[in-house]
Amino acid sequence: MAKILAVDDSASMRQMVAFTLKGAGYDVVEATDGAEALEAAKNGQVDLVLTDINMPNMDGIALIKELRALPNYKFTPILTLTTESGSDKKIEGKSAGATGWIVKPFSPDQLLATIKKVLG
Amino acid sequence: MTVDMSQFYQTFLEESFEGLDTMESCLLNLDVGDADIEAVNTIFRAAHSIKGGAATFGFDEVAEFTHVVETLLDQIRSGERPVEQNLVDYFLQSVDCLRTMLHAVQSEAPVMTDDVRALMQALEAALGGEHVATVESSTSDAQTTNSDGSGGQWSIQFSPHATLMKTGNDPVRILRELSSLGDMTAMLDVTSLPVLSEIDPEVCYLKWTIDLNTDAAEADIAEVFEWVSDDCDLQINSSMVQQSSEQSTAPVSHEKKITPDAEAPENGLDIVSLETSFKLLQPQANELAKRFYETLFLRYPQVKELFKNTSIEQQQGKLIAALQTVMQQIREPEKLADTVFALGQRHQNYGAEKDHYALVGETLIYVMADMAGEHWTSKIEQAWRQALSMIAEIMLSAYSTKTPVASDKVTDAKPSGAAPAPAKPSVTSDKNTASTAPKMASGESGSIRVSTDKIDGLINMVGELVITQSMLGQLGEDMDMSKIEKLRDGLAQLERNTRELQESVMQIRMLPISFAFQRFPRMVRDLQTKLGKQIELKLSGEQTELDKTVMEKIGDPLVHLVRNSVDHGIELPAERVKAGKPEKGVVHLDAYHQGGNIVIEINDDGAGLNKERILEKARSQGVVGADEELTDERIYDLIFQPGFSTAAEVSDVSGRGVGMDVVKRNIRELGGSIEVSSQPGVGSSFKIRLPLTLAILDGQLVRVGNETYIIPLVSIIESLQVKNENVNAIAGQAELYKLREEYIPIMRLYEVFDVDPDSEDLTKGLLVVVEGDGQRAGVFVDDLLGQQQVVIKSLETNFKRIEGISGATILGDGTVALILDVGGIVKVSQNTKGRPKRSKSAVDKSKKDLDEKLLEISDGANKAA
Repeated sequence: MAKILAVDDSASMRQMVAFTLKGAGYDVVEATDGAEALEAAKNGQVDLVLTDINMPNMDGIALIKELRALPNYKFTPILTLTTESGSDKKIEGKSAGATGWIVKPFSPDQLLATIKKVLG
Repeated sequence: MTVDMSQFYQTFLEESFEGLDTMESCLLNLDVGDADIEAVNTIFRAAHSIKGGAATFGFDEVAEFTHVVETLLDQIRSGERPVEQNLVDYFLQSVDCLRTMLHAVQSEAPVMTDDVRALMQALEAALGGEHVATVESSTSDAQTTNSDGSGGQWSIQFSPHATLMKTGNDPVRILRELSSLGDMTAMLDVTSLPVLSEIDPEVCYLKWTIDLNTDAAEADIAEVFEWVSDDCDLQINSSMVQQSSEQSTAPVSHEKKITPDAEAPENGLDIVSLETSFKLLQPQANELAKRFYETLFLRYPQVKELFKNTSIEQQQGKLIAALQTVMQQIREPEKLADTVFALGQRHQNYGAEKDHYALVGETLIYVMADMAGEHWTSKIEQAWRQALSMIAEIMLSAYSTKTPVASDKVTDAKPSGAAPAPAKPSVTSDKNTASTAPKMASGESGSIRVSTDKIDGLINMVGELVITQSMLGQLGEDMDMSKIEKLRDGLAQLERNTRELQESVMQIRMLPISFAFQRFPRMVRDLQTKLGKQIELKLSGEQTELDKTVMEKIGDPLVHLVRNSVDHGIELPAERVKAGKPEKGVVHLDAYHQGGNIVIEINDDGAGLNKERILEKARSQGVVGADEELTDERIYDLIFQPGFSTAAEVSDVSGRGVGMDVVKRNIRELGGSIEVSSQPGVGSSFKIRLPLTLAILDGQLVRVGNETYIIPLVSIIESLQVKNENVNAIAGQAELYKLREEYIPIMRLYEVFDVDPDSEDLTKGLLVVVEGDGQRAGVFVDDLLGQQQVVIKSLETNFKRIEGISGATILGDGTVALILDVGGIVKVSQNTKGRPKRSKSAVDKSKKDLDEKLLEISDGANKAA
């Protein structure tokens, strides 16, 4: 089953995302910020990255840029988790190389539907 | 897939409280006019996370409020708005307000109070009346539906830019998604495809012309291309509009519908009957709720158990709120189903069982019928029965979907005993929690956050323990004398493992004292403004670790002491200048380890304690005799007397005289002590000494006859052999021992506990001089045995509280020894003096009960092991 890297500095969001994805049978790797996520991504190939934008240490935008610079992650789908109000964040993420976005707040069902769309 | 969101509530609340603490401390350090951008970012991020979480987990009011705060913060972050003092004040108020709101969420009390609304309006006004978009709730399904029912034939030109794939997008995925909307025919245009040798695999050369036959709306089709709208040329044309005759039905998000009964009139529920009867009863809602619970408990006493942790007033409020919500949403079946479903999940957490629903329904109908009187018709009753049974059905359907909480995660490691908290019925529902809210810092939650390193260390040690155990096991299988050396080694190793494990487990409960200190910057800031003083708060030793329980209990005494220092200690700026001191006073909080204790010092460079006034007050209260001379130490100690305050005027900050005695009592209850020292004009210093943990104490084992007792080492001053010439017996049976210049009462332990001693002759035993609750006493025992660390087992949880005994422990040989509560035993001895002794058999009986109980417990523990 596909392996997903879930990055968010909020523990509850991470828990919710991880629980939902695991429940649907995905392998989940969790990271609390960009730096940790980059490390995790380098340690083992993941099939999809879900990342929050606003995080300490390394934010989501910087993470996306770093990931896209890695040969292994050139085409890996990366989805940002952004809030409705941050529509410029969608664009910023997109131009940094994100595949798409999921708008917060989202329900577990919406999350799964989007992931399924991307992973097929 | 249904995910029970309530399992994440606790984490959300914890991280939100932490976020609020961070916000608060950053706000306090924020320089008006020249704000540190990183600090503003941190504050913004905290607010942002709370908003996101609140919206996701369905706490809409919290999300709505935080949204306003966040919008303001965003303007500061982007430089649109300077940091002004009034904004900082607003933000600090918002932090308090959010704390209150989250506590309300925790206790399921109403979140949106008038205070919240007022502050929100103020914030919105600060925003300049800009329209603040409200946040979407998580449950609302964002899917657009084809409301006008137009479906049909679409022609789509999809020409990806060469770079489309660079963002991880894939035309194939888009086509696949498109095909899921209806019948699709795609024509591939390969004209741009270069010769094979020139193909760059990272570039998209293809284009498509797509015919799609679908009922989906144009917006749905466009949504498929949402992520790539900048990476392609796209044209979506309706080639033929076809009026769909079948009106698309309203989307149903739940499998369970409110309208399952096809035979019922209209859409299943007799809404008209429900609404009319509810309107009739609504003015008497309070009465209804009151009578409902009265009747329920009268008819079905068994359900009373479910409400033992909550106040009935609160329950009545909840019942009314639930009824109102149901009636408000009754015309919106999906929404109602969601609400009721969520309610069901909560009820499961409370322990409500299936059978209870029928009881509740019956009772409700009975009470309503009774109150409605002649207006109650069989039609109405039928409508309510139907509605209630549907609601019960949906609520019960929530039960089966509840998944057990996985506790196998190491990253967020929590003690496995920590249950998900939303189930915890809360006691605090007082609306006036605003002022007490900051007290309930995150440290008081039932769970604890432990670093992965600590857990890994533990696992490692358990691993070693297992190795030692298997080694010893092997030795035991064929033991002979030649292996005695190995056995000894193995046992030594076991001892080391056990000790290390014990230390590490204790470590887990240890938190840095900064958790207790963090509230002070804000408090001092608020106080100095209020009192017109200038104060610098210095904190040091914040990383000193302390047991979580001790930390929670020391919080309030510390607050009291710091308040006192600020209010009474530090002088007004003018006075300070007059005394030749800098205008700004200093309050210094320091923590450090010393021996097996943690020491917390609160120092100030204020006026110092006024000896004369304390003495005068003590004399007027008759605490001290008119011509009694006291040492400075004893004088300062007087401030811990109940009802003792020398503040000339009672201020609302401190000085009511309730407090210092409570401070001292709280510290004593933790097995600690407090000392005061002071120098007029230079300042005062309070020194609190606390044990690092409450679970283990250093004990002195003493023997009386065949019994072993444990006296906490901290309360022992000395032990001595009694000389007859120093013993004075005075009237009323009290015996006094002359210890140097002081007379202390002698307590014969065998008398207190009614056991047979070796000897009743004082010279044949030993006198242990102890101090408890400020009183010294000599405890007469047969012998001192040894000192050891003992693990305290609570008597109350397994047996009952006994005066003079603080707990029990199991000794190495398996016998149970009682741990003496020195303060209590002094009291007991005073009470038993001159009174007939307790009947021996009664004491024996309670002791026998206790032994049996303790045996059971240790048996249980052995079995579990």
